[in-house]
Amino acid sequence: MNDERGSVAVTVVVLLPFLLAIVSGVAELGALRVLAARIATAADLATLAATDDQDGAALVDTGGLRLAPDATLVARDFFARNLAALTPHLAVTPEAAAAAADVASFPTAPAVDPLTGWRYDRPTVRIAASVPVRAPALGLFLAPTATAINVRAASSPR
Amino acid sequence: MRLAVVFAALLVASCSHPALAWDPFEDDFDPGIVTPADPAPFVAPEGLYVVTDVYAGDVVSTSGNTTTYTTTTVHETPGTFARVIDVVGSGSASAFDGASFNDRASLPDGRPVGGTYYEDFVLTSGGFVSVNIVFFQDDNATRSSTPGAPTTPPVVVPAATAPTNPTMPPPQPASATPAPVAPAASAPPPEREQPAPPPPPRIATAGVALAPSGPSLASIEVLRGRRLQLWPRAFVDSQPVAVRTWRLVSGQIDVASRREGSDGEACDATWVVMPPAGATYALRFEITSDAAPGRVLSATIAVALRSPALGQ
Repeated sequence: MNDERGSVAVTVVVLLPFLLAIVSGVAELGALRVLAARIATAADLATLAATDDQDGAALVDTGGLRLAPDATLVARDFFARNLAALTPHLAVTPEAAAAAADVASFPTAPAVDPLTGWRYDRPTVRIAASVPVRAPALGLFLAPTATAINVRAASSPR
Repeated sequence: MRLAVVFAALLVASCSHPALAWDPFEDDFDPGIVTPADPAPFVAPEGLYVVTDVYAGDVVSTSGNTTTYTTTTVHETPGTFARVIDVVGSGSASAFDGASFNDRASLPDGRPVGGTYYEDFVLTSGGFVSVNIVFFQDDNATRSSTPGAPTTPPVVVPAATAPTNPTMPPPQPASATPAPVAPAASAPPPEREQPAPPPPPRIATAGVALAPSGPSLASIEVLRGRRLQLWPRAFVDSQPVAVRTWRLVSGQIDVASRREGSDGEACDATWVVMPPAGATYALRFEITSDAAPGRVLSATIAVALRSPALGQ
């Protein structure tokens, strides 16, 4: 009865699934963290590209920068393009994620964003999106294997 | 052995404390900073006022012996502020001479014209930042008439002018009966023409537009690296006239297709280097036009360089 040889092996065998689950969960959370940063970058770059789309006729008439009428379309298009590199990690297509995003332009300033409450002192393009992503390791904890990452981005010429 | 295990378990339990959990979505669901709307409209502080008329150019007009120096403005509200920093009279020196982006003109005798110096500000998150200084000229000079100077001789015109017939009748033969001549007394006496009233002064101005027929602009916003065309324009009595030559006198353009040109030629300009925060590039052009002979018109434009940037 006092011979405890082999008990460690039994403990390891019993606890190994839990250890692996914990390690997988930590790795999944880290991956989600990185993915969230990449999706936020995609939104940032999309708004920057849309900000670069200025109304040339308004500039000639007034000398001031004013967003082009299709600024929101440009932002949505570039958001989908930027998300394309993350397609394996998304639960929907990049186009669907971009189509579901709330994209708004504020051609003149000052303006207040009714969604975020942000105040803009320059013509601004804003994206607010909730992007569904895959998280299979979360299933080990009986959690949904897909979650959503919320991003908000706004750009203006400064 | 069991006592040791129980003792160790109690020791661990007594020293335990809640683990610091890490939420990977802590930042993702941040609703952001909600800025409430101002309960009252913004009021400029004392000494500053909101700019509603923007400097467009200097005007020098001459009527008879009097030359008037004024400034034209464009009714525009660019969102900047200004204050008066000096009021100078004719010939008086100012500490701000040379500090303004537009020059202070001189009277015919060489003395500087009178006017007012204004300092422009923009409101930033750090407060009011001085942008530039502009001089609004408001003066006149009367040229004294020189004794013995030649005056325009009066022009005598016939009271009744006969229409000129380019087809002359054939010469009459010498033996022909001379035609009756009307008595001289019956001809009306010649009259002296009244001196014509002086023509109204013609006001010549200049400006810079972004299109060949676009409006003159006092200030523009440009995206960094974006090429645009600057069209120096001239106006006489607010009517556009053809530009004979133009020349960029001062101001920084990083990439310019040309720094002087003639009618129909624009300056393709691109800026790459961002100016200090709140500062602008001030360009000054000298423009000549056949509609304003012998005069060099000055046009200025302020260029605010922008670049797309993330907000919030």
